[in-house]
Amino acid sequence: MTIKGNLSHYLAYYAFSCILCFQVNAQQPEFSGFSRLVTGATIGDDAQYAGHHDDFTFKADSLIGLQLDIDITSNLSATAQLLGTLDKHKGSGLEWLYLNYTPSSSTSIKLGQLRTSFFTYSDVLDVGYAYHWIKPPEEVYASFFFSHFDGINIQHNIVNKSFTTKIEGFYGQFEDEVSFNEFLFEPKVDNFAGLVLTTEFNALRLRTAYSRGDVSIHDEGLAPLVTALQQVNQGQAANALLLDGKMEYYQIGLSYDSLDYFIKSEWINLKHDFYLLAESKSFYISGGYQLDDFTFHLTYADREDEYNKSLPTLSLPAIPDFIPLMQGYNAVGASLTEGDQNSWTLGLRWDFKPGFALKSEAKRIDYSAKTQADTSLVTFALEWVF
Amino acid sequence: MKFLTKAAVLLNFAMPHAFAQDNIWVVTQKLDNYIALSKQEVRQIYLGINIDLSDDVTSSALTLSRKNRVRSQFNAQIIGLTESRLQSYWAHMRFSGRNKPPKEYDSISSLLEHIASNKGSIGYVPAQTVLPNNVIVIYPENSH
Repeated sequence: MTIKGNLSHYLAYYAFSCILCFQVNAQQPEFSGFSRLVTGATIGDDAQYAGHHDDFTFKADSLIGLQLDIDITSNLSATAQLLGTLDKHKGSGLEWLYLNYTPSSSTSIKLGQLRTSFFTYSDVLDVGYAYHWIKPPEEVYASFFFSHFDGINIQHNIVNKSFTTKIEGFYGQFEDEVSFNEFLFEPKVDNFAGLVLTTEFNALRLRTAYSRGDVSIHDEGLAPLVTALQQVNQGQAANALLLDGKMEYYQIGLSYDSLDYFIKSEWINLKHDFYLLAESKSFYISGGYQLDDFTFHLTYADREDEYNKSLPTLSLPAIPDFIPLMQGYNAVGASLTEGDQNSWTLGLRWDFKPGFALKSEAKRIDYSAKTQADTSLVTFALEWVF
Repeated sequence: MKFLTKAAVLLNFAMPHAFAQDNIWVVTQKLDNYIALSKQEVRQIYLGINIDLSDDVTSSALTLSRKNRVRSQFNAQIIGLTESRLQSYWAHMRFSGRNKPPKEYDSISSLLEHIASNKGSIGYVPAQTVLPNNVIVIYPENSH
């Protein structure tokens, strides 16, 4: 994760160097952090699931994060967050670097490298202490999305006697690696924008979000095929292999937090015009009961993929010269499988000491596509915040 | 749930409503205007969303450290979350850059001392606590 040379970064960098050089005006910097050790294994077969094999290792999701907050003036602060991990899909480095300006008690404006807020937990996926699972349901949280972007975020709160409403809007861009369905993409996302509305009425919380971006993914592997199709005047087919267009995310989250039990659920819908990616609808519903320092929880999650458009047919004569090209093109079409799946997760979280939690989970995943064997998984995690 | 929290909840169910609410006072420094907060407003302030108490004074929540019993009572009665769930909530807020947990005080006297000298600071104490002259009860309403 490297820092891109855009305006917001220069501003944030400039502010940070000013603070570090002239600490006279700034308050003492405040350090905090989070860390997690996660291990897991699939049961009974050689299946692999989200980086876990059938032997226990700590590699897949273990990480450490450090956060530095500095108050520059009473309504201006700066924050940086660094992440260290062994997971090559996630990568270590700077996750965050921004300035936060609060012109009034109810409004805050952030500028710099920010975290995305597609779904309820997408801004704290790395902070396991913040949720009851070891990993939020992949059916929802393994959708095509990225953890950070460069831009601006404005949040406004309205509090009255009986309920609270939070309105959040953001705009920016993203260019980095994204891991999706075990593949690594390097998308360029422009005009990334969204709106999040959250209403709280006592223990009931409703979150609705809309995010969109102009996504462009250059796939090296398909480039020769695209060129070949263009050369034989199959422009429509060539274009269908390009990943270039608008992607939209809709989210609704509903949760109820009582003193000793909770219910949390999210529903998402991913929409776009790409031929090579599936549109998906996913949801989960999770309930938990707390007894002393133990939280018992059960979650059901479901994902349905759909390719709304099939690749255009080629209008080429079946002569030997074109056969390899046609075979290559048809192979791409045949490789598109829908990732329908559902899962049950039974888990236990033990808050054994302030700032620490031990978690264990058993998960059963059923895939609709018979190319992938159903999997059972056991995971353990130690969470720490400081 | 810790024993204390449980006891607090049972008390809440067992006692008449007014009495249960009178277990805890939410207090602040007296301002020129009249201030009375609803339970929802107190809850939001303690979950990190500050509100304007007057034209130029904004709320700022203070809390007691874990060794104080009244803290678990307050968590259960007003916020409606256990200590560990509240800590989990603060991890979400802090590491998503939203807001930070209230500053902690070891004793009720040091908490009241801070409130008496800082406009907008809000704290909670057991009901019937003797308050400094310039500190008033803002929740529950009409309790002082």
